[in-house]
Amino acid sequence: MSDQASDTTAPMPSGEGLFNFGKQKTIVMIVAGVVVVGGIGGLIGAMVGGGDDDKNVAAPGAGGSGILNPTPVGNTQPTPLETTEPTPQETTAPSPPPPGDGVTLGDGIATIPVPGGWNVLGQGDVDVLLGDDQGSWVYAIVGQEDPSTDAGSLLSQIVTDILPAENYSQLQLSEVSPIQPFGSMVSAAVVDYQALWVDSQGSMPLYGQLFVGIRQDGASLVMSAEHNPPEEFEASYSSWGPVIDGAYNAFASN
Amino acid sequence: MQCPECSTANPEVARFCYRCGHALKRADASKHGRNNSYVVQSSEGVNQLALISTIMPHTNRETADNYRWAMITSALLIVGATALGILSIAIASAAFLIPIAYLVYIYDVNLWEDAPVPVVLGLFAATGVLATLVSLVFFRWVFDSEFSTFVAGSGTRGGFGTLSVTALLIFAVLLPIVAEIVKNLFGCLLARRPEFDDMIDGLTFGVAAGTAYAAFETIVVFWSVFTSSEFRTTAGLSSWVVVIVNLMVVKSLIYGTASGIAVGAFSGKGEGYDGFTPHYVANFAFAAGANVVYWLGVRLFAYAPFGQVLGLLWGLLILGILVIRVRVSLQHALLEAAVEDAVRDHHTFRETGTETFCPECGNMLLPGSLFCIACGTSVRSTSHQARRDIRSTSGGGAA
Ligand SMILES: [Zn+2]
Ligand SMILES: [Zn+2]
Repeated sequence: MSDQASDTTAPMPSGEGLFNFGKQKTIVMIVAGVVVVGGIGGLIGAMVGGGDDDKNVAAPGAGGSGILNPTPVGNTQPTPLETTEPTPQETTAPSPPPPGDGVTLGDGIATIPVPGGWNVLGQGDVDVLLGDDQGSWVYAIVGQEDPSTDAGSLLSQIVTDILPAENYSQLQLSEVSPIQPFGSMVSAAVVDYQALWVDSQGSMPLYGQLFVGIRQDGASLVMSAEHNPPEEFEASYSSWGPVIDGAYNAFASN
Repeated sequence: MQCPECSTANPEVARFCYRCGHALKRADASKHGRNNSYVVQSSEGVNQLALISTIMPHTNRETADNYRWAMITSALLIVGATALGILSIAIASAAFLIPIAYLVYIYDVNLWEDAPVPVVLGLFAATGVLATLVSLVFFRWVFDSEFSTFVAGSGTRGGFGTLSVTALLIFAVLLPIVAEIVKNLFGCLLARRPEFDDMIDGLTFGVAAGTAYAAFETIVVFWSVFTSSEFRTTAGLSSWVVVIVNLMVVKSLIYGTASGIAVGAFSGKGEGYDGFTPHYVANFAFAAGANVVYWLGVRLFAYAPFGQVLGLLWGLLILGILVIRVRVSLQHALLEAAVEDAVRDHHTFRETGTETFCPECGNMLLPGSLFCIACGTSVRSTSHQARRDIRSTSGGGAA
């Protein structure tokens, strides 16, 4: 495409004269630089992370958080919510807010307590997202299932909806464990997970538990509690535990 | 033949005025006249989505190919590392691909003749340190719980309803504006120096600072990849490939070109830097705005199905707009500055001193040229070695 408009027949100046590097050298330097930086990254990854295979997800319950522990929570330690509102039919509101604030989902299928220090981050008709500004957040969604549905198998089905692979990378799941249902719940289950959440703006490692409870009327309540950093998940139970316990106690009392 | 634009006498064979770059042949002007052939690389149009000649204006067609192949090869290696699941390698090399290529380019064209190593590394390091600090403040130290609302609510959980407006404003509006200030800071400092006051120099500093910022921010926000207990990931790799391509190409180049536009406006056309003029403010706002629009899109698409891919496509669209904007700005700046110089009969150290050859097309350059008479390429966009050769025996200093 070079335009030989003038009478000059001078050879095209080569890159060698006008630039510090020739063709091969440019390519080699850039590719080598990228490989070296990648190697440093890999080395850091191998030294700082990697290798610690003891960080695997424990089986639920083994963590010792004891959420929804069937005997204590359901029977021996009724929450204020159960005592104040045993049946939904008696009041106009299907589920009045517990002491403090609460969020009612799905025409009163469930009420999620919002203890002090917690905020509603987002809310739809059937789901809500709460956060405590301390690295914990709880997601709750209600639905309608066949009352004979097994909570464990429902959990296995929905786990990829609640924890989509697009964002939950390196997802490690524990075995799905059944929980002894209480109150009007007929089936309940939990699974522990650890993941590296990722999107184009950042990444965040987290640990969480995903709960499912199904009531005798077929109503289902799915809740997840997640915390970052993952090591502090158990310690953060004092913050998010009351949300999960309060919600399931209210759910099971309807 | 007298140039109708600046009245300079040109040889009869000239297709372009050697002083102001104006198209002299009517046939040229109508077919691919001055308004369409890019002054930095005349074989391309101004409105052509060509990346290398945009961010590396001192390359010619031949050397631009070297960079193209180097980056394609590196990108394939990085995607390969991602496909193997070795994310620490992939993230580190993806973050630094464009900065490394750019460092090599800057050294290759000898942009900083006096003190290349301290100046180049200083710009990268200083911007990198500030980028690291800003990223730590936003993602770790101060607004970490706001960022975790994105983690909590994105994907299929909750949808747009769970989007925290506060977090959106912090991470898609406030952060890009703060980051743009950091990216401009050292570039503008360098652009004040008389030897680097050309708009192409300002653009280069801006691109360098922008890509350096992107690299260090990427390392901070993806640090968990390095501390992860899994050295090799096996699940969810398709999503990682999208994220890594976004980091490697889109984010790096959006940051770079946007800051290049802003710092280029700080330099202004012609000699001497313009400084904090309304023109700079407008271009700074454009650069910051492009980043805001990019991150707003990424954040909002994250709630849609295939959100990562949509975010990537959105970034490519923004990048395309930025590339065209750089080319149009550079085109106007180089032509307007040349016309002004030619009309005032002002001579600059950037013009040729002696008869030499166009690095682009190989034709002869007249003494005192700012443009090639055959292809119309700007002498200001040649490499500094070429320029040094061009004026080695010259008397073409400033008038
Ligand atoms: Zn002219
Ligand atoms: Zn030429």
